[in-house]
Amino acid sequence: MSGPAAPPDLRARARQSGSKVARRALDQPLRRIGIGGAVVLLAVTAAFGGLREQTQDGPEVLVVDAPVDVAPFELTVHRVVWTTELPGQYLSEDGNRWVGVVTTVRNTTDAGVLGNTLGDALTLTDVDGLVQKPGTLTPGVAASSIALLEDGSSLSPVQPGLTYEAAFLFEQDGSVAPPTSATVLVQRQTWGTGILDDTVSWREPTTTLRGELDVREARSDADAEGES
Amino acid sequence: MSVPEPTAPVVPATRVRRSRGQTVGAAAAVLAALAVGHVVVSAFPVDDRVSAPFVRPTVVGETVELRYARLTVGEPTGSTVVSPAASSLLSTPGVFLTVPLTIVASGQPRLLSFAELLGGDGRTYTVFTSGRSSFLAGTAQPGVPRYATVSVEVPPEALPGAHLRIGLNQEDQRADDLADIDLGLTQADADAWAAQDTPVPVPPRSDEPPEQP
Repeated sequence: MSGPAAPPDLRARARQSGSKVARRALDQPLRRIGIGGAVVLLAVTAAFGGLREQTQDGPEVLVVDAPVDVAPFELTVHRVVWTTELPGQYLSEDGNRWVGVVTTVRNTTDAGVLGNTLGDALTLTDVDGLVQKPGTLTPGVAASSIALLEDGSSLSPVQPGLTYEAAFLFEQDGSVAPPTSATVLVQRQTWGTGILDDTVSWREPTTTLRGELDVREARSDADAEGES
Repeated sequence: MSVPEPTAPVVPATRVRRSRGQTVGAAAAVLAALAVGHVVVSAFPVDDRVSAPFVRPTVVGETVELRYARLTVGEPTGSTVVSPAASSLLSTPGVFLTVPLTIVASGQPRLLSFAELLGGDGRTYTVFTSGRSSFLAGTAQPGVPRYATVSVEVPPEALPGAHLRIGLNQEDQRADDLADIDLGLTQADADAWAAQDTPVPVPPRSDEPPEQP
């Protein structure tokens, strides 16, 4: 068995101090101190949710055209397209393009939710050259805007009891080739307060679905009719 | 040769040694006090009641006196399309409800910025200072009527029995006056507006009364 981990002079000072606790602690071997430290560390993390039950192992696979419940919304992802022009939407630089995730959105709660919460619900990754807003904490890149297909307006607030057809719009650097595939991340959020902020709101976006989807160039209605 | 300054004799600090029983007793007393405090706060949740807004009920066409303004609510109208003063037409799968307000600030300039709709279906419909459901009155000067319109997007089933709430602070309505307006809407209003696609204008906020159509 290994001997005490503390050096002899420190143990001698502990004996002189008369403290039983210090003397016994310094007489312990290194292995026992390590195990004790790990237990203490685990106990401390428990205070911040370290022992909370894990609800799932990882993100599930996102399936196109299948509605998914990701509080506070129900989202259905239909397709991912890219285009260089969208009426009513303005790119930060000429020559850039839009990558749009076309969805159906429902607010499943009993109160309206602002658009920034919807922006945290669906993000994009694995696409080169996406323009990212600074300071976002959500996994992936957040949409530059979320536009209603019906009138091009920004979808905010998202009211309960209504079903919206909307596109999450991501701006891509025009010097990069248009993507042929993209990974869509869908996040569930939690209603509550923060550790340092007692305002109640939708927080902690956690990725619950993930899908690698094909990206094609958007076609106008006239193009689609010409092909049919 | 320097003579050392006389220094005050060092008096050893007297340590009051308490028995282990006293220490445990004191700790138990502190824990018991914390527990009793928690029980009192939990059993009598006065915080919500103390901070609740002072709800001032009123109806369409009547003036309600608030701490910060006199508010008069005009006749509501609705359609599936609205024409905001500052943007292009907006369409909805539900109904856009628009409610004209006349605000006369009391005492000092006031910027009323809170609005929400309590739907007859039990849901709460958010109104923000911009977006598809919006209320942005601008600053009302004391004694000068300010005209503004609330526009809120709702499903038709929210309209019968809906109440509009107007307040001063957009983020915090605690312990302040809050107007609660019974809009007097019926199922017939909801059905008519859900079938209406003529755009309803949302006049710009102004100190001048909006032009009548």
